[in-house]
Amino acid sequence: MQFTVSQSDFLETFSRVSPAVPSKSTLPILSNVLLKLEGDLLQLIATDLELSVLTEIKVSGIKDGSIAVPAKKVGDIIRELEGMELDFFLDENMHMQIKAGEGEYHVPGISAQDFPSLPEFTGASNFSIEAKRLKSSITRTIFAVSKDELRPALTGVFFEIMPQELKFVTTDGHRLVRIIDQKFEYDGEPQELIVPVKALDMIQRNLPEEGDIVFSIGSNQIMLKLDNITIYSRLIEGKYPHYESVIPKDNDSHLIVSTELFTKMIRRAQIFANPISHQIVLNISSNSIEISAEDIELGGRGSEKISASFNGDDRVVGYNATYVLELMKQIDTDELRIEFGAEKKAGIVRPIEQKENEDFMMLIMPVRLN
Amino acid sequence: MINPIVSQKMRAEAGRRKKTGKLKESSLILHVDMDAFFAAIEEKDNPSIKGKPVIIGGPKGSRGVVTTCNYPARKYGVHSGMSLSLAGRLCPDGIYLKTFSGKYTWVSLRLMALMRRYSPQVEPYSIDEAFLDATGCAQLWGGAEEYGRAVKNAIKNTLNLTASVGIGPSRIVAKMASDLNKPDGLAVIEAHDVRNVLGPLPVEKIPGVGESTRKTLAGMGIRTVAQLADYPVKLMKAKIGVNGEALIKMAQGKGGDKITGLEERPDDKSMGHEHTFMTNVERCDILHGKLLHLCDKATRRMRRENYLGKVVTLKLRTSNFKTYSHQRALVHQTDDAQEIYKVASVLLSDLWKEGEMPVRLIGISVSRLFRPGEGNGVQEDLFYAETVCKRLKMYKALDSLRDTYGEDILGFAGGVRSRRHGISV
Repeated sequence: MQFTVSQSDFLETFSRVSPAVPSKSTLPILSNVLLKLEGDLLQLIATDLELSVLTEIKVSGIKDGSIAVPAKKVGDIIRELEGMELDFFLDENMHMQIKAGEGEYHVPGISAQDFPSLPEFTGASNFSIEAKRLKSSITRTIFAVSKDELRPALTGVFFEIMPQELKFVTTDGHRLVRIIDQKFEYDGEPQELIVPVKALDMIQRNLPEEGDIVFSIGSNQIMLKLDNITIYSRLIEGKYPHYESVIPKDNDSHLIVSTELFTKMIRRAQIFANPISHQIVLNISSNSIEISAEDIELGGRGSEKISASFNGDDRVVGYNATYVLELMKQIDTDELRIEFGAEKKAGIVRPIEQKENEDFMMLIMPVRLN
Repeated sequence: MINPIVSQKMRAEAGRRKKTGKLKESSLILHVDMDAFFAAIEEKDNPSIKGKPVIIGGPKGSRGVVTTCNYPARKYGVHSGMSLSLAGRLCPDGIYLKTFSGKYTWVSLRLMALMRRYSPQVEPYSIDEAFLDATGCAQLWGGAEEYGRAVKNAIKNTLNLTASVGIGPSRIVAKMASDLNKPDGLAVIEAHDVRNVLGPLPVEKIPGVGESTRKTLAGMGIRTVAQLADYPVKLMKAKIGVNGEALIKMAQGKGGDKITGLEERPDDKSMGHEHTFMTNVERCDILHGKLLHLCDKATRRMRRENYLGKVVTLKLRTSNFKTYSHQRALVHQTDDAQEIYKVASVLLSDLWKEGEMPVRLIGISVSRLFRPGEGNGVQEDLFYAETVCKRLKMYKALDSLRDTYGEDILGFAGGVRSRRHGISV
């Protein structure tokens, strides 16, 4: 195997697949990237067995061949050879020699046969979605995904695919985000998928600015062919909780407040909150809202009041400030609305105005005040 | 029950001393030590064995050690810490009983609660021992001896058990005094009498002086407490290191005059329990059962102290004495035994599988403890709010039953079953 390629082209392509390489794995081969040369086309493949990615690059091919090379070492050295022309040569000892100017670097490789093959994909159905809308929906939902491996279904984004709408849902049990994309057409049977976060990260990274993206759904996996990369991911098995049942239906008390002022106020109050619970207390009355925080153990207290409009009875509610701030980041309207219902039930947070053809809402559970 | 006015007086006295910081001059400490505690409880529960040699620890000749034996058994040479096989040879006709720790803990809790009626500062020292700050309290009873007798009588009348009580100017003197007239003893050593009373005793009467220290001291010609008290500190430090000075101070009766009450204790960093099996375990179901039992015990303590925990650590020791420990963070802080067990059992399955080296010890601990309170509430959950609410009620009922009838009144089925496979908790 022998080829020549410019450092910038190779690095750009290599960096596209390397995020799929697992940081820790019981299978050492997975810390490698597979290089496969046929003519002038070099394929790069990385996998953690859940997520597999394949990308291609034009090189000046001299001799075909394939080899798996350690992702970290190759990535690290290539990054240091800025602006140079790279000559790759696989010697008889399965060492990949990389020559750049006066430098010569030998990286031990592993036989391509030991590298897991790409999953066989038999697409059963597919749907398409505008890249821009997909990107925005992933960004606004992914933060609320659970990290609890004991509740695996919650560690992914739930896609509910229906003829006229596509729903994205995430929750970690404390917050829940749901986006209904109504600018959606699909003529197959309704489907439900739980897509792992790592796959969505990879998709988001590689989405084009414009155009539509096609998701192919196979048995327990999905595949996306983007401009310069093909992504395969297993889906998370298990049943997503019946989330609709926890969305309150009778949250009739509405608070309307400036997104920016509210966010800044919480950021200031958070400094005085207990570092474990991050508890802040909202004292809401018809025309104002007071936010306070106090760390009883270490001392210190902060409170602040701003005007707001509220149509319910005065109420006091506690939240984890970190959770509220994460919700605020997803709101891009000047004002936001929080809808309250029964005590101890979730509050519903929405932008004051919805985007066209979209319904976006977030739930947040309160902290039990003592 | 103590007169509430007297109790108020005691608190006022304690408060006054706290403010003035004057404890040194007149401090008086009471040490209460239950007589053959486990065996006495068993005798009380089953009067037919009273007066016969009773040995607690396990079946005669089995693996394990004697945890307690009563005085008739001691006449045969049996003592705590002795292997059960040796005890079986020395006292073949003794009555051998398993350690029933839940029952003893229950009595112990009642004992500590009772002691708190007699002093505002009570420091539990072990399951059957406590130090009481007697400064100021004693004079309310007409003197140290009367006070000591009142404590003893209260224990006798309330728990139907006997205790030995020692009173002295420091913890060490009080502790050595309680040992003087065991069982059912009472000894008061006044500050000016410490040397006269304790001086002639052999050095091994000092708590913490075991066989090896005794031998070292004997090698230096020191056999009595007085000889140790008079030994030059510098020389002792040179011979046995930094502990030398502490040892001499103890012999002089200078050893702590401060009692740390529960409310003054620093916050706990972690809470846990471990268990050594009677015979090494090769079965997964037994380990899981024991693990559930340990999670139950740890969370019971957490609930009692109003803690929630965030990190679960599992400890495992295999028959070749290798110790493994794995931990995992919980998503929610909890004091729920079932939630902790869920994580612990995943750790156990990751760490050990049937067919691997048999397990000798299993332990669980919960750390990153947090006390909910003002400014520090508990995060509600979207999906488990109802479950959490039901569980809270269940644990409340469970705890209140255990407070009234003892730890063993009710438990998780898996945890109860596992108890057949071991005793030394």
